[in-house]
Amino acid sequence: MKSNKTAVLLALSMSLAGSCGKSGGGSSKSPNPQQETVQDLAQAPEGSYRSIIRPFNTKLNGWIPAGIADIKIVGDQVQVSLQLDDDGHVNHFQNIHIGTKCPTDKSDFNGDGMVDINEAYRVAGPALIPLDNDLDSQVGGGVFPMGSNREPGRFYRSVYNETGSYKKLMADLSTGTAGPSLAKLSSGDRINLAGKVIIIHGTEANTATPIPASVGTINNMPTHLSIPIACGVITKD
Amino acid sequence: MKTLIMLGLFSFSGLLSAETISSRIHSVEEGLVKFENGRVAFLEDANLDLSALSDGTVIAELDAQSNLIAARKVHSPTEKSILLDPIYIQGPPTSPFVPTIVPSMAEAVNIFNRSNPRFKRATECSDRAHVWAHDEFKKTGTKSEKVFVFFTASYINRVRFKWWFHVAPLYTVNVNGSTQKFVMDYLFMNGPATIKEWTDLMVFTKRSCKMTTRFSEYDVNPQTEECYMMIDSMHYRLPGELQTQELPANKYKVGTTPAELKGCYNRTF
Repeated sequence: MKSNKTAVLLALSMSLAGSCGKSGGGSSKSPNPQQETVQDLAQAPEGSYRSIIRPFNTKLNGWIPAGIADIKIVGDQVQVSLQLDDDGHVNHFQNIHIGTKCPTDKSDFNGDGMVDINEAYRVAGPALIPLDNDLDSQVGGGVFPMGSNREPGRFYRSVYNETGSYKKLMADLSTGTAGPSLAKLSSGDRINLAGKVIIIHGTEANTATPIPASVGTINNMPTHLSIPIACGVITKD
Repeated sequence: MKTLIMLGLFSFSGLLSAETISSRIHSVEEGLVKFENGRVAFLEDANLDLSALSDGTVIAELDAQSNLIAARKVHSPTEKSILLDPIYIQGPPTSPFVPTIVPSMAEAVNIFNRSNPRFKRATECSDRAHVWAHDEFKKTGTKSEKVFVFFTASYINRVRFKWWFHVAPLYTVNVNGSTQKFVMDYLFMNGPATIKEWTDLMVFTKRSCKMTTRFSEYDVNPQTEECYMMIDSMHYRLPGELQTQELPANKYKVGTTPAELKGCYNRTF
């Protein structure tokens, strides 16, 4: 089920997928995390998982965004709940990655003072499961949660709750071609979420600290939307 | 007074506001309102008189730029003065608080990983730190300290920082024969962190925070610093408790009551 109510990020997500499809794998650019972790995708996934989402790139807006992600896989159902507090009013591109390490402020490899999406992917590997409005599909959906203050008495935060079909997701993850920023599974592989990382992106356009021109992006996504702000390693309960 | 009334007349519809804060006001200075929960609101009118709101919990509405757009007091103060609390003593303790030396870095990592991860959303750093520190004490008898960082008004205004203080448990660790201090901020850090690594997360210039033993040194707020730090026993939860060490109160916190701890638990987990 693909939504037509797409924001900018839907187009960006589709663009990401399209670009990856055309890339033919780009093995020379693929970060090592993808190669390291494909093997353990064969392990049984069922269970409850949690990730403490911790901040980096905090100089962007004076926020210290942090939160919690809970993932449950029961039978065919995949349920993801992710809440990010101390947030800005912005859509958050967010994905589960194939790698097992979170980028930190030390991942600023070009020394421009900020960790951009390419530097983050160099540490965490390409994205595997977009946490958007269609968990059944890697490419579909494309609507990501937005920081808001809908709950009275609370700070700005983004709240994400989505449920999908494990079988449909597996089938989708095994279809198509991987690229430098999007991972695919081999046919028959299953997900082992433990140890994988979640990266959340996006800050308000008017950053307190200007984003330098050297900050990279992918697929023409605006840098303030692609720049990563928080990451968490998934652990099994 | 007129401005204060204007504040009260603002609608609390939420149409204009981006954020609502429920907290006592710690202080107002240099165009900033500092709430007890650590949050900051910016005042477009730096001379705004908020004194009528200073002695109770306030519901404050902020816009997307963290400017204060409305505030009202929700109840009168009912808490008894901390100065009458039996966990405070007059004058410095005769036996200073001595933190336990954690035997190794590996054990420090274990302590970090034992931190209760089941906190609710939007909890206060002061409550989390208090629970984590006392949980570890109950489990292993390890006594820790707290490290507070206080951001100056000049820093807050310059980078539009949303917080005026932050606190986390601090452990003294034996690292190859020498003792070092490590911050255990389970929500913000990936493991035990040096104080500098911890403050670098919040101090974007990466300048070190000036260590002080007197809250008033921060409070008078020379604009030359980005931030100040204070280290004290695990019993200190809020900046206001550090303030009471100085005259005229001259009170030192030497314990944590079960009720205080229960309150922290209930708010956090």
